[in-house]
Amino acid sequence: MIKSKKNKNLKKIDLNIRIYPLEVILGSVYAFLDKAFMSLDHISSELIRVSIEPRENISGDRVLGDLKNELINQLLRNHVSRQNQSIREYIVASAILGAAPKKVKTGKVNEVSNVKTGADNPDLGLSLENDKDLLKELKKIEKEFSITGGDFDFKNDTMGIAVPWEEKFKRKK
Amino acid sequence: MKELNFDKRIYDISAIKSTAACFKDLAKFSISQKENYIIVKIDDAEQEFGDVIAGEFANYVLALMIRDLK
Repeated sequence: MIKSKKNKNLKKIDLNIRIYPLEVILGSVYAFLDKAFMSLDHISSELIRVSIEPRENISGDRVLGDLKNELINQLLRNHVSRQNQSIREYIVASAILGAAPKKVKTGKVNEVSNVKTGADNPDLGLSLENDKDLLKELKKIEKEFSITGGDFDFKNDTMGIAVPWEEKFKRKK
Repeated sequence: MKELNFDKRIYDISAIKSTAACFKDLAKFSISQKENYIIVKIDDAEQEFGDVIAGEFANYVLALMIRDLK
């Protein structure tokens, strides 16, 4: 495809697109753009020729060998990606649906405009009545608060947490 | 003058045009089409890039196509 001086290091490989789809070939070739000048050409309806002209001080055989491995790698990635496509779509869809307000989940999309934001809104599933664990924790804190007479005792710093770093590790003269 | 032939069944014309726009300060590019090929002619390339400009051009086209594919 590139009409240039004859390069002894020039390598060519013919790939069947029934085995290696174009996206697999493109993905593999992309990995070697920094090592060689790559060009693609259709030599028949089913065959694509990849021409590899290595850059200076790079072995053509090495690039060709690595390209063959990369083709297998990309082929497998492509295969796995297609196999998992429906699962990925399902996960994303359920994540989006999970983040949406309840009214959207039930399909009453028109009511979404009336949805309030904040913890006081039961439609968002953030109501305190629904969250038993949170309620329990709040009651625990309330209890602790009443024991200390309405004031947490932070002043009694038995572990020395409030002591500044400079004071704690001050060098003795 | 250097000539590059890009197979239309593989290469995307918009990627070729974008590449020519990016390389415009390094040489003069003319793009034409003939049967199954998009032909890019490269003239007046800057001396220091003369040997590699065709290869770099083709690589850049591939890179743009793959970027769009993703």
